[in-house]
Amino acid sequence: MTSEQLLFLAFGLLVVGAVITSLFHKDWRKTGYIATAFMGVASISLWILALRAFSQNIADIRPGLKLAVLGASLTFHIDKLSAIFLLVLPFVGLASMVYAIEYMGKVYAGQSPARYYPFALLLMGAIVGVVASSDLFFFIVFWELMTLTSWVLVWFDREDATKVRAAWVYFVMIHVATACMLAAGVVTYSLSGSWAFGDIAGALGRMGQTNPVLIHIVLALFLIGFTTKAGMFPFGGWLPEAHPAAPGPASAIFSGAMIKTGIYGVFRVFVEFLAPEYREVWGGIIAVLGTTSIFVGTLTALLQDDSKRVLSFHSIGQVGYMLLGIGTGIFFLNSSPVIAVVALIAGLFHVVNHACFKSLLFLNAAAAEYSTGTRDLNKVGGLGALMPLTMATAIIASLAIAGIPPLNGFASKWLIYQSSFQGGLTSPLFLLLVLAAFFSSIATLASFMKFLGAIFLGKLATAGKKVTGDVPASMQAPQIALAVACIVLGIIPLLPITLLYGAVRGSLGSMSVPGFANIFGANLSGISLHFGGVTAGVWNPAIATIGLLVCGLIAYAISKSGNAPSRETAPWYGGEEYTTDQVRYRAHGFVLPFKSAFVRIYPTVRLPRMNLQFLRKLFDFDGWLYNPLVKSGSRLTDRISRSHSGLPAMYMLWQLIGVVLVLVILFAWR
Amino acid sequence: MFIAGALLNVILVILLAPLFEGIVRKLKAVIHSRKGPPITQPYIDILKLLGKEDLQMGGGALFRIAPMISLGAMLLAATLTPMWGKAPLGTSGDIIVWVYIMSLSAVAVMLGAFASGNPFCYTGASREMMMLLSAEPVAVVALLTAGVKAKSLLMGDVIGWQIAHGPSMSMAFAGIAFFLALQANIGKLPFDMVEADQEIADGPFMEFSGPRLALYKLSFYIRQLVFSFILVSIFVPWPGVSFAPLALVAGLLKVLVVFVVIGLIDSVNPRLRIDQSMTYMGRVLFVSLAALAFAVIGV
Repeated sequence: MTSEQLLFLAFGLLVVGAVITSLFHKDWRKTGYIATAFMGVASISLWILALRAFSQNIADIRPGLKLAVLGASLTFHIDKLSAIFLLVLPFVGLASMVYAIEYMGKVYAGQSPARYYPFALLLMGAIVGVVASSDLFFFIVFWELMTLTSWVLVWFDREDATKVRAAWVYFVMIHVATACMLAAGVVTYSLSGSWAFGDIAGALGRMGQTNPVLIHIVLALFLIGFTTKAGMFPFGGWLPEAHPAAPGPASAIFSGAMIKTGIYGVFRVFVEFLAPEYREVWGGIIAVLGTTSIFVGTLTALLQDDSKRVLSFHSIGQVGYMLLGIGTGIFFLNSSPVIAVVALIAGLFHVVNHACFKSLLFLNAAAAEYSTGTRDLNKVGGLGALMPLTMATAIIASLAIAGIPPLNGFASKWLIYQSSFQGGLTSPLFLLLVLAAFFSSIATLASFMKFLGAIFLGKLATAGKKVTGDVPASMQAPQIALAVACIVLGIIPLLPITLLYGAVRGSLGSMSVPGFANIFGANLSGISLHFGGVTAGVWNPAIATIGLLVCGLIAYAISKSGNAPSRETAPWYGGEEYTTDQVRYRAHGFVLPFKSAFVRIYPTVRLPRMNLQFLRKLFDFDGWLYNPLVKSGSRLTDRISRSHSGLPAMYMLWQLIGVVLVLVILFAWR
Repeated sequence: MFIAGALLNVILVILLAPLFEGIVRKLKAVIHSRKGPPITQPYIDILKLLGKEDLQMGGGALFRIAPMISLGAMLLAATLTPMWGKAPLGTSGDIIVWVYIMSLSAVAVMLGAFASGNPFCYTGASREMMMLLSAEPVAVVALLTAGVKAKSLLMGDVIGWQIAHGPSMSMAFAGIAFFLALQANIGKLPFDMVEADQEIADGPFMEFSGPRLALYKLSFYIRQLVFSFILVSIFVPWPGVSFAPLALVAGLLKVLVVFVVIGLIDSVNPRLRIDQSMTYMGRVLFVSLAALAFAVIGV
């Protein structure tokens, strides 16, 4: 099959799947299998398409749909950058679909599957469209489709007023952002007369010569548009609202796949299209905003007690890491291509890794909710004994997001630290960014220790008493697949890095980029980073993993050397007898010292709640337009009617006054 | 070659770490005008614990393997630590890797504590996390200062730069900051609130007994030794002997001095509360940030 056929096969499958699943109103499981089948085949065709793009077979697809009035034509361009996203995002989507088969049927038994699957499939189709299209107009069309379908998923449970409110917040915030993006697109279109991606760079370049202020406005609009979707602070306020509202598997798609499209947009516009003289300014802005997002998102996450809110604030934080990497890369593209390439790869690598571990974490949180019916971290506990597999995957995902070696989160964070550190040698600002990122990394660890300790470890809480066992196999399989991905990407990071290097190199076009071995070393088992020809950082996950295993075995041997007997006992509560629930340590208390130590900065890092009051007022035409008009009108006529007193003498008086006035005016004028 | 070196480091830390603990205990006893235990007491403790009954309270697999991961990570960190001039696995992991491997050990302690389900353990784990959150950034900033100087994050490059260029203002500040954070990082008074025997009865280790406790104790001793070695070999590497055995002896002597100072501080200070120590570490962080700023302007 040609690339074109593959892409349209995927689109077709997703759309047909959406139509078919919309016909089912009762049977969650059957609908789930159908949706999974369509998603599965679509994913396979997208993977083939992506792998082809990596073997130098860049697809340029022009189906010939044109909107002559607007000058837009539907075109797709699958280069290596798109291919990265096409490899990862359908994987997340497929995992989520498989997971949903059992999950949705139990948790939302009373609801209709026709309100979930069609939108989930269309959402995946829209995501594919966004990362594949090469025409800004249709990019925005797909973007809007993505927003609308995900919006429907957010208010899936419309009985609940808070969820409807969350959906409203999401809808408004994203549309303001989309409007920004559209405005930026219209400006570039007005300059180039074309929506094609290939012409944006030219339009931006011309804008730089004629309108140096306008280009900054346009770039800011693009940045707001993309980073709102990506969930960056301060535009990511919708994330912690929308995630807890959406069903678990949908949250996995949101954080695992959808918010990555924002990063994709940032990469396209700011790496590919931006003229060299603007790189330093905007790279710096993106890096600083990203680090702010890391810091605020992660510290806020530490203070949450709802499992999905914890995870969504971490999405805000983790998106910051990606933007820090990409921003650093853009900043150094002119002065030091090596640092730039490493940083760009690091940012994209974190995108890939985050897709794996964050969607896994959402599935874990959903599994806990599936079993106990609550998301409150203070009420659950001890589920690990009953759900060992879910706990194992949750531990892997938590350690991965906290950047513990040898998992994948460490590899990308390490690259981000290295590149920003090397950048910091010439621009010290980046040293501060590294430190903020590092501190937030430990805070992430704290937060996930709390997450694990509260949900899975410890003694079984009352909320878990009715749990009978681990989640069904169809819910375990996606968790295992994602956990394996976390481990594999961590242990052989050079495989994804090779692919990402191709993508970054493709995006940089004609710029001369140092060879792969000159940056990452010739040793295939580990990364040895070369900056300016000197090795400045090494990470060999293979040796470290083997070393860890060997050292663990040594420890095991030591523990067995005494041949000690073992015995089962009850926990010791200082000699007193208590039931487990009396001596439970709540999740809330885990970071209490932190809260009191940071109490002075905490109010300043609280995410602002979107104030919708003014929007409500704006849309309330009765309130500010109609009612005041009517009132003042009737008040006016009231006053006029008062002059009609009904006395003939009064009318005579009015006429007299009128005549006098006319005479005065006439004479005064002469 | 590097495998032999790595094994050597592993064996060295396992054999030497309890000795230094014994020296500190003896020192404290002398200050308290006690006779104190023999210097070999930590060895005896560990050997005895290895044969004692292993009480398990249904904590599951994680409870059983947590001490092994903790000690395993610590031993791996030891192979990344330059003890005799260079680190055996220095070509496989740099300073950032070392920091994260050290925190893996702490993660294992916390997960083991959670698995036990005992609220004392949870309290200890919470304090461990808070100490990590406040003390580790100080150490990292100090190490990054060294990295800025050497323009590289490899342990070998940093030490080489130090030996070649001699003492500098920024590295002195960084060394002081690292030392101030050291006590917190290795859980010595006034920062031993993680274990706090009299208060939360050994905190995260409370439910562990027998061989598992022995592993934790050993891991704890090795943590002290490894951190001290990083201090002396990165911040005071002079005179930089190239002959490995001699370098090892010089390193051990310097580490002994560090332990004596730590022991002195340990025996004359009361335990701080966790919030007090976090505030304190916040101030120390400024010292290390100042060191970093000095390094950036090149002094």
